[in-house]
Amino acid sequence: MNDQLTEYMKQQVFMHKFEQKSSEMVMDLIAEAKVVRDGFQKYMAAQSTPNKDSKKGKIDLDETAVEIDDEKITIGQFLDYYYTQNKILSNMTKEEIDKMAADPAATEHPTLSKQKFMDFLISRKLLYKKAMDDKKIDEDELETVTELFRLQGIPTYYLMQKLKSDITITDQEIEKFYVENKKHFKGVPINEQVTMTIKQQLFMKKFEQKSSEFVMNLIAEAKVNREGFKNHLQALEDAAKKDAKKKDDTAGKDKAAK
Amino acid sequence: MKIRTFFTICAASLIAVSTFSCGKGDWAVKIDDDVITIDEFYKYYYAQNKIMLNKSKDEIDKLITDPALKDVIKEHPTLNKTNFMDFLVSRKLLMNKAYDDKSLDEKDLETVEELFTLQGVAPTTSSKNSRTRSRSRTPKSTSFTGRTETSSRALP
Repeated sequence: MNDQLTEYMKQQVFMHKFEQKSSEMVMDLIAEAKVVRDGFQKYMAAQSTPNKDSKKGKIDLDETAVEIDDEKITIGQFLDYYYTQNKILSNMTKEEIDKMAADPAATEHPTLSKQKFMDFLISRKLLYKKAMDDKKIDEDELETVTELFRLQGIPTYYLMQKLKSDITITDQEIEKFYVENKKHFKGVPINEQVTMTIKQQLFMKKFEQKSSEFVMNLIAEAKVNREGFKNHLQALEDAAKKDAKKKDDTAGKDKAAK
Repeated sequence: MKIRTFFTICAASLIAVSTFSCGKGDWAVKIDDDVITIDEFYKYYYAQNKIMLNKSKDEIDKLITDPALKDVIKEHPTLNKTNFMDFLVSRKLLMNKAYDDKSLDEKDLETVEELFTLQGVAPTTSSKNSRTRSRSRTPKSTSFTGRTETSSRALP
């Protein structure tokens, strides 16, 4: 086993342990915190009633969905988080998200299932509070990490909003994809759900291409001067070379002395 | 006249400070009116790699100078400094574009920002505490599935 493989295996094992420990930590946090989700459960029950159309109109968006210690999240706020999160990850409209979420297969989906997404939201809110209160965590580092995530999230959302209308998926493309990947669908005929899944996959592929083009154009249009960085990297390289030469010279002198 | 002299001195001082300042406070990249200093770059660089690789600053430095990993590092999106700078520049440009774009719903943008802030801070807390807890042998509790999703971090 070489160093690279060892490093990779170490990383994999760490991530596995990290996920386990994270789950335990979240469990502990939830157990310690005051989490009341009566409003959310009521909302979910109303959504699943057979005559939900008539009930839907009665949903009060200002009603509290969940109380996490002193913080309250209303049904409206929860739905904002829910649809925005799913919009970031796909090109779906609110109606399409509802349609996808109604599929029984979506009950285990981390963001399409409202129950799962609420669990996720509660855990993130608790962890966020914990991070902010934890004096052992470097404040500067926390700020940098937050900034990094914003730098990744907002551009993704922006690109999605800007490019989604330029991307079209034809019926022929969907059919071609289905035929070429038939074995993955395990005999499921090309129904509405399958069509939506394929459309999503094809969309993401085109989206990635369009995004790269968009970024390339943006860089070409902007005034970007990297001289400082280039000089810095050159200085690092020169220093490393000088260092290596010094080591070689010392080794040569030692050899000659022996 | 006195005011003009005062402003001239101030301007000259500012130019002198920016010209003769050296070290990590130097500018690395100028993007339109924005500046990323060498210091800022390293702050992002080590934070990003710490999140992704669970390595300390020293371990990252050791990794990138390892001759056996030269080819891997060259192509790596975050360990290779040039690649990571390209990523930073593109994200800064897109971020500025997003905030300037009047066609985007401001409330939606705020929700996105909040969602990513929540997702960014949480793994840091878990990571720090998990390291400590691994050492202190915390007893196992029942599983809490589906809470460590990272799927939303897919980038174009």
